[in-house]
Amino acid sequence: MISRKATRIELNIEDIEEYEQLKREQTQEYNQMLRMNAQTTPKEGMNIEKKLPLVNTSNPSNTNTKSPSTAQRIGFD
Amino acid sequence: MDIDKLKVQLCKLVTDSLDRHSYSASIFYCDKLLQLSTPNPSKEYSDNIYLYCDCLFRDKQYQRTSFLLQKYIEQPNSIVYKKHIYLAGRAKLELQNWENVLKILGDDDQQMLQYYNIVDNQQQQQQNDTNQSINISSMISLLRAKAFEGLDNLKKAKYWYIKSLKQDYKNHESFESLVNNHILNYTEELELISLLNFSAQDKWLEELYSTLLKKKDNKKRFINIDCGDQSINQSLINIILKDDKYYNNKTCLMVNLSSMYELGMKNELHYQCHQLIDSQIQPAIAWYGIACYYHLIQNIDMTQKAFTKSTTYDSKLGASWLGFGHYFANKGEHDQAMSAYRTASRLLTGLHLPLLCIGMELIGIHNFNLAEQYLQQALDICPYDPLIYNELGVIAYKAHDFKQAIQFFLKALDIANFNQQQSSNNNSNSNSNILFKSNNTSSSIIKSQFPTLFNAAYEPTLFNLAHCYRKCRQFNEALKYYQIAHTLSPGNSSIYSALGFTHHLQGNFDEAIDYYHQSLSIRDDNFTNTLLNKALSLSLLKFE
Repeated sequence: MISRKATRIELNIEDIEEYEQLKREQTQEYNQMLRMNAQTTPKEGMNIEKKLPLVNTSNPSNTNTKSPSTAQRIGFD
Repeated sequence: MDIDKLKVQLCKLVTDSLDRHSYSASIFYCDKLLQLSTPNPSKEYSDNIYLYCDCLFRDKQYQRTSFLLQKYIEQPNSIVYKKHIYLAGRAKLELQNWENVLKILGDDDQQMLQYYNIVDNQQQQQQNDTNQSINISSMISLLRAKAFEGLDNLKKAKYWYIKSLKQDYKNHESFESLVNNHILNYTEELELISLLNFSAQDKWLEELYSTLLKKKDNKKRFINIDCGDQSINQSLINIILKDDKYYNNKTCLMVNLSSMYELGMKNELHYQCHQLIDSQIQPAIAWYGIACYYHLIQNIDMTQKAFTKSTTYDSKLGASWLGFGHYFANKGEHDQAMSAYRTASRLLTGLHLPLLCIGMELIGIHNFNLAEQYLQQALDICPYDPLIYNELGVIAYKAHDFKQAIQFFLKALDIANFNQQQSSNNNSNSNSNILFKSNNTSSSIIKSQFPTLFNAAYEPTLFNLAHCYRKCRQFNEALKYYQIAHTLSPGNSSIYSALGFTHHLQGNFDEAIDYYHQSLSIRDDNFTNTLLNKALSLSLLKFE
């Protein structure tokens, strides 16, 4: 008798939620650490990146180089 | 002229003609012998009418055989032996006239004794026993079983097959029908063997019967025939066919065709099917082989036509219905697949595969509760098929019970590994090189780390197990199993994606990006693209 192939669980777009969840947890942990130890030395910061790799450690939107939006330029914002 | 001398001469001529397969001659002489016999009722007439009908039967004149015998046995003054009734029934059976078989034989022995004036032939019975010939009552029960099977009444067929064997365990035809048609499950088969009370001098037969049983303790057969190493099956069958090119044992043919399908031997399968069609011996099996061939080369229309033809020739060929189910499932036609699997399940009552396939089909449509019920039933019949545990693991995974899923997948791999070791022990020539085809460094490392053998068929189980470990955040374990799966299926893009995803979750962005790229080079998909973007952003900008 010819056999049927075993059911294979395929990765799908919903599995990204697993990544988002881990990222949220790491961000929460990171924020907690920041609150507890407000003055973090650069060396410690490096360790955090290794320990909590999914955390956003920089935010390009907060940098000064960002040009103001049209609303900001016309004083509407 | 001395009539008695002539009768003796005619009798000898009939026997000689039968021995030389000259049936028309035997019919001619036997007809003259019957004319010279003392008129009915007499033992001589009774014996000669049987001999005459026997000649007709051998000449394939079934209608005439049954008509003459029925006419004879229904006369109130006839001396009827069970052999007359049996031959009349057998002739009707050859005509596939199931109702009339039962009409001649009666629903049971009691009814048969009431119908006919059967001579008590205990003396003949004792003579049979000493001659080691098969009990005629057992043969009559076999006819009833076959008639009920023809009428699709499988419960009664099963009852009469078992009764036939109980009446005489030497009746191999009954045993063969029970085992080859998968009417009994393993427990029932064992129970039957213990009920048969083989005499001391027939212990050899008990041992032969036991080797033909399936599953459980008799794992060797389970491995080789039902779902094991097809290359071993193929080499064994080649040895048989080398000696006997037109060997047409049903089991052997089915295993031959199925193993060629599993091994992807397109040309060999094509040639074998042509041979079978030319020989015209088992058209249903030949068309089953053709369907397998077209299924293998992905010719959808021809596959359906061939399966239809096979099931038309023999609507009781369970393997064809099962294959038909696979074909529909492959096409995504759930209802038709379920219908085909249900038919297979009705025919193959002692086999777990139809129930397993129904379970798999139900998993496909996310009906997990019902799927689990079917899988449990399959497990009750055969607790040694790793595929069942894989499916149960999938259900546990879908229910987010990852620890339970891990248990099921590990159990599946444990059985698969055992089977594989048994196979390699049985055939020392087939070593791990067959299983680990990839020659690159990573696979050789894995090979040295995990000396256990897995067949490529278990790649989905390994892949599923790795998912569970990933979900449990045991990333190193997950990577280990993804790597084994990768060695079994090297060009599979989803394994690259999964490897990349696991590295990504661990924060190894470089490896993750590398795997995502490899996956996308094989097949473009949303999941990998999204994750690649995220990995690149985090790796370069430290922001996503």
